[in-house]
Amino acid sequence: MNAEAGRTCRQMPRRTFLKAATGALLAAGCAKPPAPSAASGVQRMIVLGIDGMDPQLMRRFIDEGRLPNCQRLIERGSFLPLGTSCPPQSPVAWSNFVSGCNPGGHGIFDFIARDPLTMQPYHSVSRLTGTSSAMPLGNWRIPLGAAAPQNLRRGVTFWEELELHGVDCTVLRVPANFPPTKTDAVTLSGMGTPDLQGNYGTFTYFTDDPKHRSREVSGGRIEKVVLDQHHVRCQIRGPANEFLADNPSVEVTLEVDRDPVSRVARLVVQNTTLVLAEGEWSDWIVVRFSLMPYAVEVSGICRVLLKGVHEPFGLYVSSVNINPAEPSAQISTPPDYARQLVREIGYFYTQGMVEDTHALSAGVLTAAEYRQQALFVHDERLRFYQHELQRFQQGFLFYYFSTLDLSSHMFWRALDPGHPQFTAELAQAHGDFIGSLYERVDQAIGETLATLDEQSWLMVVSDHGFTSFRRQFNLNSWLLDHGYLQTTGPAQRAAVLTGFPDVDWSRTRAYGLGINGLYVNRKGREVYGTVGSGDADRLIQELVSGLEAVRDPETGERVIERVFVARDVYSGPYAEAGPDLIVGYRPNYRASWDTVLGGIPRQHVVDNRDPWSGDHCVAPMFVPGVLLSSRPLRSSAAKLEDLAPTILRGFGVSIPDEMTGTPLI
Amino acid sequence: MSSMNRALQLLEDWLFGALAFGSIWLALILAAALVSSLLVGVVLICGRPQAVRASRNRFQARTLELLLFRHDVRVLCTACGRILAANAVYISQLFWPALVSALPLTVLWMHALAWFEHRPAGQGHLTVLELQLADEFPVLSTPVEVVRAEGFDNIVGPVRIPACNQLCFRLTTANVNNAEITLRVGTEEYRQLVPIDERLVRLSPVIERDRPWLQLMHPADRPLSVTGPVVRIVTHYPKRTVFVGQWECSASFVGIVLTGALSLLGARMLGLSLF
Repeated sequence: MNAEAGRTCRQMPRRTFLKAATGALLAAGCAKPPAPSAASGVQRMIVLGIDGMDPQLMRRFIDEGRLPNCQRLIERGSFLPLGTSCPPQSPVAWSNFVSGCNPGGHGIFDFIARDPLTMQPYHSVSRLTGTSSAMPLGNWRIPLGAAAPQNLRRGVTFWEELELHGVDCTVLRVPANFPPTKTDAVTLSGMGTPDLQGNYGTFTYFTDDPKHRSREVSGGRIEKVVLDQHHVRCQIRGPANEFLADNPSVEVTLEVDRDPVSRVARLVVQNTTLVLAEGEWSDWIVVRFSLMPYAVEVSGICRVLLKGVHEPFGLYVSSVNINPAEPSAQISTPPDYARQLVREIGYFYTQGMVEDTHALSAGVLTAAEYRQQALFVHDERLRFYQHELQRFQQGFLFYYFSTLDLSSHMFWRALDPGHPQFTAELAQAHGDFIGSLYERVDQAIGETLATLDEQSWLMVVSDHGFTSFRRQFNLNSWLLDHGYLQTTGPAQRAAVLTGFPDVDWSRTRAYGLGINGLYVNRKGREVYGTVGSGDADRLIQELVSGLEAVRDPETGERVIERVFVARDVYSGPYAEAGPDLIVGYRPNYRASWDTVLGGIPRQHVVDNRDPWSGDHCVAPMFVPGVLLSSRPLRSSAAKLEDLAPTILRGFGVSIPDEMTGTPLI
Repeated sequence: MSSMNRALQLLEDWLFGALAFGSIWLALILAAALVSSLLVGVVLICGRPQAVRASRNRFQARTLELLLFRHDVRVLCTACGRILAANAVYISQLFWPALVSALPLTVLWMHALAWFEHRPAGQGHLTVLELQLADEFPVLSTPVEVVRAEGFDNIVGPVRIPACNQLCFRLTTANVNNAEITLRVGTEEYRQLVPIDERLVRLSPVIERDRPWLQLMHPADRPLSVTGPVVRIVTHYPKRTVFVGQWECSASFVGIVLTGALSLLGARMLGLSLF
């Protein structure tokens, strides 16, 4: 210490010196590191995630002059078909995107995974974990620990790396990020966020229509009601009550009074009173479910559609979303971000998969009503994006649009005359819906283009394309009939039975679960494993050759293009946790709905008579995604896992070893 | 009662009307200051601060006595009774000012609630109007007609609900400052003003027939005629909320908290030590 500095220290009171020293230490420890100098001169990067944007359709609409902004973007930078994930399912594909590696590095292999100790399926993206022990107190039980949802996606995300290097990130609605990864970035969870019942969407339809009876349907519930003097009480179901024995669902009452003659009704739910005319949707309704009177309550939001007032009465209630103003589970980082958004733009959908495809499949919503709802979702997302885009100055911004994907699933039949659900009337009424959604997406791209400067970079990314889903393949039925799967007695070949009914695990060698997954019943991994490691390779080869030879008995076409062996396509620390084989179907074919959850129907190949008529869970080479970039890219071929390294390189941040993709610049 | 209502309305219109373009927080603080000064004034006039302080000291002394002499059986046996007695005296000293201030405070708060409990519908928002008919006018046989509607983009209804003899309309407000609907129910006409903006305005979510106690509860507008078919008109305005940090609270709750805080502060400044 020199003399002058020593004098300064001596002159400074001790308390002031300590304060200053503490402040300096805190500043050094807590301040963000300076942003790296971007080799490519990027200060501001925007990535728009458009789920399900198909390169062929996009090219067609561009040629028709319907997507002028996509055309401008291509002229300014580049367009590449984007290699998708194996299998091409959204949670897998977007996980490849965020972690820069294949499923072996992030652990998401399919929408559905299975617990090898119980052989029961579960959603692969998140799972409720924690203690289930509780202290009984009469009818009540006091939980002795909190169960909490856990994000099952592993690996490091590109925004964590960017934040570490001082780049501000806003990542909104990226799939497979519930609950959001702990980070300093601003994030909002997307696909994978459940509703208040813990599902991916559970609608309720109240009706007095004699054609209906009370029953559970896939993704919802139909409730038969009786109107007494034009009045009916409907129960909206909320979360399971952990504080009561048997965990019954908590419900709130929705009272409906209809006019005896006119097609209008009054609805009252808690503090909200509405008047709706027939065919009208309500705004967001806040509902509060009391788990313990005056102590614990959970808040949700839902919308209702008054489908019919008289003959029959019909009231559709959407799934109850987590209320972003009072979230019962963490849906954003920082946790206050969701609440702040409600202040700024009002309530918004928080559930991951919002468009109610289940209600359309169950015949509760008509195609026109589904379209209305899909457009609500898209318009809300666009408003949300415009809000964020307006205040985005520098750093990284990701925003995700889902409507194109789910609507392509539901309305592909209007584009494909060979689909069993195609009709001329449908094509007339809804044949242009998908095209109109591409135009809406193009509008968002145009608004973004208008904000670009020399230091900005815009990428538009879709995770996969689309193809028709005309015929369903019952993988487990094929396995049963070829002796790989065994049942304890004569198999119950019913389409409605799922969860491996009557499967004799002690004699089963392979089973299908999820949309593309095929597992070998391995000793030491599955609880009732039968196949030793020595026999597994032979069995895998046998299954590959057997499945690749399957032909549709009706058309004579091959059903499966290629069966991928996991060890050939996956690498990384979690490669062993996934299926052993990935079934890559040919266009127009896909695993049946029964296969997904382990059902064993009678036939091997059947028509797909569900409105869910387009799909992408085929061999990856048939459904590449889209990559549009406002800057020229070095490579002529790209795949999803290349994007995280590209983003990091764009900001001059070093690429971690876990990311196996190759930067495109 | 009506004259009192009118006088208070004049005072508050003058007080809050100036703040119509200003901050809701400023208006809340002003209202809380008004009520708390009244409360402190009543305590000053009706209460006996010396006696309150003495009784509070006595109560504290009894408690201290029990702590210090808990080994003494005599004190142990009698302390509870003496503490209770001291406490009763202390509470009785506060009772009279509380009683005297209760009525004006209630009236004042009812008036203040008309300003702070609800906010007007925003442009393009939906508002539900409910009319409760008297039993002698069954809703299905009483003719209802919208005579005039200004400032609304859309009106849905009426929904006639025979089970509770009610009528409902949904009004979609337009891009104006005030909307007004005139309804003819039976032979009577009813006019309802629906303000449309975010400013601080006096609202009447509930209007009832002319009864003094009802006027006290819903003081903002003129009461309904006793002979007409409509007993009550309810307009479902949105609740007015304010943000304390990121937490959304009811404006009236914040007003109550502010009143309590300002009352204690005022009492302390005037040398009144109640607690």
